[in-house]
Amino acid sequence: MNIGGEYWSSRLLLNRSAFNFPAPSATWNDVARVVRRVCVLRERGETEAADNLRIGALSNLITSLKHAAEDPSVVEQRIEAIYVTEQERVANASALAELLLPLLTDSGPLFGTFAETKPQVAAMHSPLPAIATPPPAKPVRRPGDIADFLDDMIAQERADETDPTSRRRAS
Amino acid sequence: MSLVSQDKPPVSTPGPSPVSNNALAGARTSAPKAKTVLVGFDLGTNKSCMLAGPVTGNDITVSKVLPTVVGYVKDGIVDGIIAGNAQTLFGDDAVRNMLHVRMVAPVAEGVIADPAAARDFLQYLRTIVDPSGNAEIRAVIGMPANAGTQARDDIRRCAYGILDRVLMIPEPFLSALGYRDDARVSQPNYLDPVVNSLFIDIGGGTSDLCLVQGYFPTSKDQISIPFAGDAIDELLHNELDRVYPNNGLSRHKVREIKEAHGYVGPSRKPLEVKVIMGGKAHTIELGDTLARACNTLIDKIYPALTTLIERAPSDSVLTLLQNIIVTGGGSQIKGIDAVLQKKLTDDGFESPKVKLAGQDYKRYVAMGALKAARSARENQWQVLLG
Repeated sequence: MNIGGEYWSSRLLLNRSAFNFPAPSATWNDVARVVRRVCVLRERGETEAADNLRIGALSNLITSLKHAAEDPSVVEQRIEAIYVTEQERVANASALAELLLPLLTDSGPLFGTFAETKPQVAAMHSPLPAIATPPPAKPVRRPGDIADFLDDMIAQERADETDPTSRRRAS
Repeated sequence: MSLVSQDKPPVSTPGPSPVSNNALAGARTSAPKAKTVLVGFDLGTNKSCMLAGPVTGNDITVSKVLPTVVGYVKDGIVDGIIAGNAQTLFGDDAVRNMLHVRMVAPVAEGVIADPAAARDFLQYLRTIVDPSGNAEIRAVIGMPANAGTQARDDIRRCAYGILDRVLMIPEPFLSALGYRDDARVSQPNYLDPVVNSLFIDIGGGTSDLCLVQGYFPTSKDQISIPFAGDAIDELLHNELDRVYPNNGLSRHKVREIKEAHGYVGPSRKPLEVKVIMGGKAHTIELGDTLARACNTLIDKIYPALTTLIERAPSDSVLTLLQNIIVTGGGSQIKGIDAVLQKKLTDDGFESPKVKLAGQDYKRYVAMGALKAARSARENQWQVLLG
């Protein structure tokens, strides 16, 4: 975690440069929210998903901010500051979860790593209710997933096409 | 005919069978397309429905129901008889000018019967959704339940050069998608037809029954019977010919009689129908005749209905029995829902409920097809290759 000099200097940068940003706060809120998700994913060890989010949605937001700003370098500074802030929040939340989980479940080790306890934390009492948790790896099929139906259909068709007895018109 | 999904490298294949359709000339170009239009096709034996719209949103820019027929103008027709001196007419235009055209049905029993006419018909539909000819057309096309690879290949062959990408999906499943009220899916009391239902789609050429239970129906979940509206027309026509020899009634007229008066269940007499025979008006009694012809449909589809119910997982059957839906033109036969429901009850099925799809029965397949088109992932579309 960055809780040393870099954090404090960035925090100062954040405060100092706040007056230079006429940009709408909602846009910066969006950036903060996405940065927070990136930090959460990294904390959970899901680096690939974090990178995808950083390269995709976050990059788009940053680009639009830079277009709107007079000095793009100031944007970068503020984003760096947001990163530091959100990393700290996520770290604090993780520590809190580690402490609370045994008390809430009344079992298990009092101190464990975040990685060891994260499934229960996510499932029972998310310390970050505002952060969307990623879907389970194999979600239950929702009836609305028409594209998944089509996957099934295409698989059936391919199986039929390899089966010589399937060349029927109708049964 | 070959096809590839977009994520596969293209393969070279022989060209399609030549067709004598001038309208096709220049239909396919290699130039980049300015926009993409999604189309839902219900290519029915007697009636077709087409809905089209943009890729995003829910707008429907084209909605058309028309007879599935192509009329080739006969030789020697004087100029001006046919509007615009057209050589080929489609749908209602062909029917209106049936005296002056050679009528060809592109589809029979739910599958392509005349490839050249089918290509002309598809080309005509394409010009409706994309008059400029510059758009990329992606179409989801309904197929009879359990249509085999030959039937699918025939569609692809006909669509080559006219449609850019296609997906073929069984019609009863598309009916369920189209019938589904998306706005009510989250309501607790809504019986989502995609989650658990049994669709009976009675068309012109086939009656298709399909279990729809939250996954894509397998071949065991679908039964297609080559007995539907056309077969009833034939029975009715034969019966009329037997009772009223030399009646001169056309098949088109017989179909009109069925559509106006057809019913199932116990004989309803008197049922007097006024018809023109030999230029003279006659009133004929059709109570028994119509009952015999239409009840044959019940005899054909009821065993398939009970077969599918018995194939459904036992935990799902009670809900399934509440969601049996009759659609297609056959749903307009009077009493079909009540008769099927009574037969199920009499056979001991627990509180069955058979419903009619309602007024939009002609459009549900196309509506479902357009929904599927909007949901299809890029790599699910099939790219037609010559």
